[in-house]
Amino acid sequence: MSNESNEIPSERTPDAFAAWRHKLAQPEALPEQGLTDKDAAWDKLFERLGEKPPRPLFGYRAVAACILILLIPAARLFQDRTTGGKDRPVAEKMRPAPMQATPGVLPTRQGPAPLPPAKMLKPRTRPAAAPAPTTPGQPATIAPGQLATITLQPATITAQPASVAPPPVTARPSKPAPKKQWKVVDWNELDPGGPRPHQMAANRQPSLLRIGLGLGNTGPGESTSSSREDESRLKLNLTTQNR
Amino acid sequence: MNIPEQIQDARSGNAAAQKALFDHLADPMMALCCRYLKSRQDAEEVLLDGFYKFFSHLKEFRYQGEAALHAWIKRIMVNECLMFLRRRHAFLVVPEMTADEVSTPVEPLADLSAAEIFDLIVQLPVGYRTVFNLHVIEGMEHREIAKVLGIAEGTSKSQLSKARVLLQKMLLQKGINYVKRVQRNSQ
Repeated sequence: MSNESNEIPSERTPDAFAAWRHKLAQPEALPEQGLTDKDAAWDKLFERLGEKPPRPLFGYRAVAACILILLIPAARLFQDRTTGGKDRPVAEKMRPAPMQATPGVLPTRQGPAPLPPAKMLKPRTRPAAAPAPTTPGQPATIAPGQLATITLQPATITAQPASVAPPPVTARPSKPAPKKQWKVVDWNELDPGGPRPHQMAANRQPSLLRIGLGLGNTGPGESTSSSREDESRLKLNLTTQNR
Repeated sequence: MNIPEQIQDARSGNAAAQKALFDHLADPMMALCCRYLKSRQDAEEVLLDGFYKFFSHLKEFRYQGEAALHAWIKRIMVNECLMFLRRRHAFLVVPEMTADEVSTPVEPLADLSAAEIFDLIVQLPVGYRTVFNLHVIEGMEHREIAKVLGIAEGTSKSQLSKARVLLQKMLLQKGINYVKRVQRNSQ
């Protein structure tokens, strides 16, 4: 291999210094100018090669991201304060008007079939009282020293999925309901022979907190006058206990 | 292991192959850096920077012979040296002027050894030395030098001319009476 081929190509004509170029281009021309400690230099270089290059402007980017994170909520808060809720009526205008279903009108668009009524959201109701473990007709009794077990039966609530389209209805804009004008009447006009408010307040009984143990029928519509049922209930008079 | 295999292994991050390439190329590249930078400490720093770039960009290098490898790494090292000098603001600002062509006799210069040539070049001021190295040793045109160093083409020529004059003076001081020899030969 010729040493001339190692040089950077040039169209320049050789001059007086061509010999210099030739001599200096040789790899072993200057042995005394070589590295004194190659291993140490290699160790330094190897450390650098193992390092990951630093990401340019990483610090500035991090600071900019933090500022953005802080600015966005601040801008929203400021916007809310300056508008003072003026945007709300606009948002309400944008909301579609409530629809009224007209019986007998065919659906105007095709969508997914409406859910059966069993899958509709049921209002949460109080679970019915558990049947008494004893024979029907006899009130449940708790013997002294016997632990009462309360079994709660959860109500079956089926949530309607949000993706289900509402049942087909025909849009009919509803008229705004007229405001009710309440008539101001005097107490004497309502019940002239009834008790006065101060008398009602004086005759008020302390409220009772009844805790049903689920041993009998404790529905609100049932009578509570029975002495047997009274035995199966634990009555706590909070007002008297607190005193 | 030959050089193409070393390059292939070094590309995949083989430390042994990288070390072998470093050992093979470090000495001539160190001499090159020392030719541009007087301080050996600076030259070693630049050498490591250059080798770092060499190994980082080795994947992009197409091996077409050892000459191409030497030319590529030499180019990397020269660029690193120039960047270092630029960072240090080492270049002298010389006003543009017409270059004086100085005819330098060939024979006495050809008799010098590589070490003597190296000592002469290193003694030049940084501006002269850089232009002299780029033009005479690396073989770059004045237009390229002007572009690389960010100076005018005439400035590059004048720097080279002054470098030659200075070298002649240094040669005379060394006791090489080449002028007399040239006169004798011309008669």
